[in-house]
Amino acid sequence: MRRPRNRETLVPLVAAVVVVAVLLVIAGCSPDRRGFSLSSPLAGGREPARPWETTGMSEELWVIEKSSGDMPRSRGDTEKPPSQGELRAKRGEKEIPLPLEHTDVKAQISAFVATVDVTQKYHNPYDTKIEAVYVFPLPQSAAVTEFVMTIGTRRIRAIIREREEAKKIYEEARRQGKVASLLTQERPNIFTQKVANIEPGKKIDINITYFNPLRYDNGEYEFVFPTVVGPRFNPPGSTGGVGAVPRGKAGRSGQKTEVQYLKPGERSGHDIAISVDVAAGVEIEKIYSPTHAVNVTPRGTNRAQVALSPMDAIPNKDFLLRYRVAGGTLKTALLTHRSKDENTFALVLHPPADMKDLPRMPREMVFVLDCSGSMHGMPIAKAKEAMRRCLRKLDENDTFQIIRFSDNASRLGSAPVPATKENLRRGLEYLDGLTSGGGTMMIEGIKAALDFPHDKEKLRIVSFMTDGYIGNETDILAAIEKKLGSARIFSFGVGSAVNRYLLERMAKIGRGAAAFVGLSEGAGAAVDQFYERASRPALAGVEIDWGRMKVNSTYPKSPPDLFVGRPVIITGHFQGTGKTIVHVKGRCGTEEKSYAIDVDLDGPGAEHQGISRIWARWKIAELSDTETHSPSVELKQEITDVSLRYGILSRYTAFLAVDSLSDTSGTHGVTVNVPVPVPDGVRYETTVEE
Amino acid sequence: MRGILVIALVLAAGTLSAAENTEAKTVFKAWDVRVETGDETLGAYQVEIFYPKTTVKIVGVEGGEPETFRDAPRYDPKGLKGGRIILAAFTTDKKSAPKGTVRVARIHTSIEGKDTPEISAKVTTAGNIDGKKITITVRLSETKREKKGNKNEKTEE
Repeated sequence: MRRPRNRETLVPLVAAVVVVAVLLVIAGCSPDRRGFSLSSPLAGGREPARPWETTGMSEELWVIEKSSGDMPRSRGDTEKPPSQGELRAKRGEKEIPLPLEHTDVKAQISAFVATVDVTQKYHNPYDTKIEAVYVFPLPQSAAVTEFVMTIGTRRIRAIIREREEAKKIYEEARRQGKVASLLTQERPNIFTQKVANIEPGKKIDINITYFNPLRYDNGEYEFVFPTVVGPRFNPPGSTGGVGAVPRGKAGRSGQKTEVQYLKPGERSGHDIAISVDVAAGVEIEKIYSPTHAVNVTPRGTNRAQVALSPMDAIPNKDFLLRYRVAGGTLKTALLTHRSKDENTFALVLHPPADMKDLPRMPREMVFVLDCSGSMHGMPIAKAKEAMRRCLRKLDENDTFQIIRFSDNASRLGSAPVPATKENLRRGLEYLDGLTSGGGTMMIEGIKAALDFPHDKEKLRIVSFMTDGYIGNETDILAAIEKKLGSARIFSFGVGSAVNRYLLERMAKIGRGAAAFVGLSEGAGAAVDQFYERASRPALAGVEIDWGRMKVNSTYPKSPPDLFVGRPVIITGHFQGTGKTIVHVKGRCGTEEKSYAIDVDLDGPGAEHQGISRIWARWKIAELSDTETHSPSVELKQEITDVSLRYGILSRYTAFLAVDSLSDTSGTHGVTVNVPVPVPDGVRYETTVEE
Repeated sequence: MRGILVIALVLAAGTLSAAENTEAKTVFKAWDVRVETGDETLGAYQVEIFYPKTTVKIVGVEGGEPETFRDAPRYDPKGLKGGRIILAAFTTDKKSAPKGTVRVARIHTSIEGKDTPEISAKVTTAGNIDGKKITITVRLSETKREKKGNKNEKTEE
């Protein structure tokens, strides 16, 4: 341990040591040569762990730390203790007893919307009361609408409140020994669950429900359930990011949100079960998971039940389920929901099929490769494979540039070069020589990619190839907004648990599209689709004539550009009944294009209750996008109001449940952060700050 | 070591003192929501609960006593800001639909200050198991705990 460097760090450190000593004295323990050595009887079974019993089992080390709450924290300052009381368990290569036992996911898919119930099963394996804290992912477009805490047979539905107010009530309930739970959103795809005052041996279930529109790409629907938050890099000096720290090292990153990771060889015993009921409405031609072993049970031709194989239950990569339905390219679909306050619709808008026949335009391709530590190994190999394939598809009318970034950025040449055989050979050589390591200073990559003069004769396509493991997403999105100009961004996510929120948002702001390739699937098909999409002109400047539908409050506010094979969803409020014709027009290069869509507002199967909440979620997303570059008190209030009115979680609200009848004994106990494995294919050593 | 213990005790005493002060400010209480259906079976209900929004916050909505209403009722988030909450639940289970006096829900509250707040309830609508509208009454009473623990509680009328 290094010495404290100044008085400011010394005072809280002394206080922390004092409290540690007191806790240990109370526990009837004394320091030995290894430090405060305590052990649990858990080695052989599932009996409660007793952190303060000394049994002399050298493989197990239990430490209780308690510090004052206002410790100064900074990245890499290892002598500073964590900011919260914390119980740590180290059991070598063995399973670590932790409060999250199991996650059960039950999804129902109807039309293009998934309704997903997630049950997190907490228990207390220790012989002291605990608060469990778990940072976990959900899809970035998920509209979290329900939260129920189950204690025994009692079910308590959480209330949505303004975040600060909910936090305050939760802390007070926790302090008073009440069983309570709090769900907050840290990013659109990262959430924190806290469960206070779990008594030894007790179990508490937390059930979360969300709606999520499915991604549809080139004839296939895709259901995604992320199971782990990838380790994020935060630029030096930042505090609002998402830190990646080793298990038991709370507070080390100095970031507002922290994920603790299991060390190589450790496992937590937390497993996951996933079942998906797919009601496609039309015949399912093919259904498969490219990431996990699944058991598929057909229920007639239009329906299938899919279950994750118990052999593949470790939550360390995104679960993907894809299915293709009969009839090739799908037709436009309209879902509606009528209530006494408002009528809501969601329109899936497909680009015209003949866009595929349009000539491709000369491009200025800028490849930006993330060479940071988290891309080490398989991810960078996949990204390189994808880039090689793209490079080989260029022709001599195109130009290209390759930029790499980690702690800094460098590039193939000072300007894009024509895609001649010789230049492509040089480019491939340059690519082969790139290695991974260091931080993820994505901002450097963005500057290098967007801060040079644009050849107006060519369509500038900037392709970011990354896992997106950064904690400062807002800075990155704001920079793209500022520097984009006429470029389009096609983000390409590589890895087993990509930061899809960042990749999707980059593409949205960049008027492009996002594609993803996992580590267990070939990059070929994804690259070919990606290349095709980037090659053809999009249907831009889209305008919609809604016919007899009186439409308002549509989101996205301006229809996005349409790309071959990739529909977009537009949602809004409407008045009207019966059948009408919606006309869509736009420009494809220099050509004007228009097409008509027949819609039936009262047609069979049009009704879908989840639509109004998806509308609200999209409104929040759009307001949040605006907030990245123009934050204001009014925007914050508007997001809060929408969130409270529709009961949808946002960054400014929280779900809170308190069992006011519970009176657990003693103080609030120790906080146990649930550590998670690093995602499959990601190296702990290059991503988690030891 | 003795010195360290003294400092620790002083710190602990300070913490306890602060805790007592805060404890006086906020109390958590539960309220049973009971309906009286007479001879009718209860298939569905919607009730409104009114509370002083400056001192009372709803912090949870719990399900009722009969298995058919054990799931936590749904609430309308739109009503929360105005000092009221609308609760609703239904069952389609004809065999076990309850009748008579039924605890259909329980609300959990945090209350600022020492005064007992005025919390009231009214029925918006109710139906029997066949979907026919019925007349019911609703009562609200504070749930009193019998002993320490999560499960043993009784209601004080």
